[in-house]
Amino acid sequence: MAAVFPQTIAEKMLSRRNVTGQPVRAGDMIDADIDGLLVVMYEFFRAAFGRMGFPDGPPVVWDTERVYLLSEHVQPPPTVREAYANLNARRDADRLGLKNFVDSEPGVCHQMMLDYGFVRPGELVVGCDSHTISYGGINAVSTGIGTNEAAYAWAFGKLYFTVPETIKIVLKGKPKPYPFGKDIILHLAGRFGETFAQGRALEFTGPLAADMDIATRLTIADHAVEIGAKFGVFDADEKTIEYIRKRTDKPFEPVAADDGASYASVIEVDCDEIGFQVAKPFRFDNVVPVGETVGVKIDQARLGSCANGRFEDIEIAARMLKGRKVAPGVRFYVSPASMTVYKQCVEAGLIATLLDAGVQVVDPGCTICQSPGIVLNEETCISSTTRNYRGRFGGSQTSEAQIYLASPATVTASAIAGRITDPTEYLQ
Amino acid sequence: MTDLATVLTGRAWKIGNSVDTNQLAGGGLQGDTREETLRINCLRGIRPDFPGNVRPGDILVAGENFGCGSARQSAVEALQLSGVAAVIADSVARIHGRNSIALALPTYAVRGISELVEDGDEIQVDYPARVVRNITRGGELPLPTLPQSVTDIYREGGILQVIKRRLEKDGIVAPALN
Repeated sequence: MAAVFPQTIAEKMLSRRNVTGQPVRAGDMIDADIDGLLVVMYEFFRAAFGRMGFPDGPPVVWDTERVYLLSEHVQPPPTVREAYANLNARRDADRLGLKNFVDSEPGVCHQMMLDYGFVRPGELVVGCDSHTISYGGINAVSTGIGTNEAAYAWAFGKLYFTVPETIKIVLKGKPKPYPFGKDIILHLAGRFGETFAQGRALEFTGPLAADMDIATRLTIADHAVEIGAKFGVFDADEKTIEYIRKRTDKPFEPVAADDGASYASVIEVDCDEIGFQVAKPFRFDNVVPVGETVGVKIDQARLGSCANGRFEDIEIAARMLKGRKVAPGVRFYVSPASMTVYKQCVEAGLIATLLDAGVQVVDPGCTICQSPGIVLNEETCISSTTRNYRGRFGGSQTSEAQIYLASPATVTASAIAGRITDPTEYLQ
Repeated sequence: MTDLATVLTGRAWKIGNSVDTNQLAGGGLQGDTREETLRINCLRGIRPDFPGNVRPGDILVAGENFGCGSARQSAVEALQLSGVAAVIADSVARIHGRNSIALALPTYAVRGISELVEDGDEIQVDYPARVVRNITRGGELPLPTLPQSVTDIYREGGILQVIKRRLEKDGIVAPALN
């Protein structure tokens, strides 16, 4: 049913999928049909069905083609328990006839969802990981949920949603010859605080949004959750269509806002004014220009994750490290976000460059964003990953470990210098 | 797990803004079981006194953006395993808020709660009267009315019960219960 009023992307998407067929506006609470469900960490998901009295796993699945089950979070499995999680996922996928099961493959689920063409523009997708929101970079309307809610979606293909208000963010300025999405989103967090989009949708638009590449859009959309957002969506354009068509030939229908749609606020950002940004411990919005942290000695640097583990992120690290070395005493871990990305990096010669420079290249996977690679209370790390909360890289015993977040260029420059460093001179 | 109709009275543990799911369920010390590991690490990084001293029925009072960060249902479980009966926060991060509903841990966003309550106060969460009271110092704040789709989940005792009941309606009955 066509709406009789102009709609935001969130309103239009949830109107399309509203089970009653009625158009919705911000504030409405509805049941919606979902287009896709990502399930990871199957051990916990399966346990939910165990608690319902199904010890052998889920008895049904709502749609064998729309559930994406990825055994990727801890691969290869280091414990018997995790090996059994893989085995159970394999058996259940076979029993239920799941068409989109990825078995025991190291990687970050969100990059794999993109690599395999499992998510497309104009789809309403949920997943049991907070960074499911990143698919907004390719115009999907997606968000994270918990394990038990995923069990509901798995069984029935529906979920309740509150239709969110939307903040429109108009990005202006010139694209840069290195990944700059992290600096933009850190700037927004620092300027407006990590709750300013709480429970709301973000639409990223404006001339710079159109000019930036898909990888940069994905970094920004991924981090929308760090400022509290439910959705963080870019428009679909020719670049989006080309990106998707290289990965799948399934049909899709992009979603766009109407002229005259109602926004909670509209924020214009001149990105030419934003230099390299750093989030200091222990919050994503504890942001300063890199200059204010220059000189802080580091023990570890990390590059990877759904935020910044793509080819473009590793390419800049390799370009900066060519003919240089990681500083003595610094452990620099680089983790391509998926096996697909890893292969691209190998074929482009990036991995050899990293190894020559003394980088420790580690398997793709979400562990680059947590532990192993523990940062102790006595140590400092600068990372391009997603979060810098206390104990992020080691749990409750490492709550004083200092974690800074920054763009891949800033992380790499810091790894070379052994101290937090403005990357400008290394980029020339 | 508590039905919303129950009036809860308990001792408050007060924590600050942006306490993320890592602080609730981020691992660290190894317990003998998964449940034990969750319990002994819950809030330990910022309140080392919490795991050893929290008692069943205590109420957690948090600042802004409670439960931000990773989508960890175990963050809610950790609170339940610690005996926390309810959570009142100035604001609650979206995914954690939904997970709290899904696991039926009464969790309310009440702006101003951090100013109303000091650590250790006795407070009362009275959803039927839509109010949270500070018994120790006096003063109260209104509780929000939750939508029916949410109160339905609380009444069932969590979303797993909702799923189970709906599957039964479709003729799918849990074998372990036959």
